Amino acid sequence: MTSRYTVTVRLDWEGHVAQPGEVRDDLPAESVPWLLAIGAIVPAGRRRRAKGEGVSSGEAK
Amino acid sequence: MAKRSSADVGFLLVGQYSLLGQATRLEHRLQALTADTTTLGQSWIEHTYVGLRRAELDQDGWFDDATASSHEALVALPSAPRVVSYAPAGNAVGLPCVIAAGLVQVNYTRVVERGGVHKAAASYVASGQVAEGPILLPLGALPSGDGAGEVVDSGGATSGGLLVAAHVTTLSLGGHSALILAVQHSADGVTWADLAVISVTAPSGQSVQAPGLVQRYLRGRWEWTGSGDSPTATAMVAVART
Repeated sequence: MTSRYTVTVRLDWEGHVAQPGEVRDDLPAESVPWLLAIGAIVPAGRRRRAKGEGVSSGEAK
Repeated sequence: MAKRSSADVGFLLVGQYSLLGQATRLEHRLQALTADTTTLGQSWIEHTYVGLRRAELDQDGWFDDATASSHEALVALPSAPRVVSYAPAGNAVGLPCVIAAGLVQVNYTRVVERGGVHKAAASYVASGQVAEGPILLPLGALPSGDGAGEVVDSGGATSGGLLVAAHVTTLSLGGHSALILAVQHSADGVTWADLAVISVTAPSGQSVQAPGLVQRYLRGRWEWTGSGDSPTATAMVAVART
């Protein structure tokens, strides 16, 4: 199951802020189900990752 | 429930005007419209609800021609509906606020009499929804940094949407491009999602209707967009589940 989500509305949690359009992999796990249910996040589209490219918290992918 | 008195009233906001200091009386009437459906053979009148409700608000108070006071607020009889909010039980997070999202002012009465203080009165009819719900950001000065208010626990989620009223009575952006007033909801009190966002660039009273699911926890937040220095604002945000 993916843990990368595109944010559709501004989100705030524990000192973090995500703006619409950002792709995040650090959302609180317990919040993901209801955020998906209301459409506040959607699973990030898959794409081939370039060699050596990593995923870091808060970085737009 | 508790009995309340005039001393408990937290604010009266008409658009961008704060009129608590000039008001002496509010009369707020809600009416369910019915039709007489009595037929032959009935010995008592019968009425049937026709699915419409009506709200009216009368406001009495003192005439005051100071800037941003009662005369300036009421004399123009603006053709556009206004957002009117009042807090019958105080000005704090979670206390109730009556929100009239679209009130059309239908008259302005100025009373001048011998031996008396001049008075001013106005009446409104509702063109839209009137609802009651908690204050999220009490009327007061906002800090110059971004932030969020205290959390209101509504006890559960609802599915009928949310009416949001935001009043800004004073605003100095200090170079910022706008003041954002937003309502956020949360199912767990951990992560907060914007539900309604209002952008303000001048003193005003605004309302928005956010449709759909509204989670259990609510809070207001404010944000100064762009760059600037020492912005100031006096604002209030309240909501009502619909």
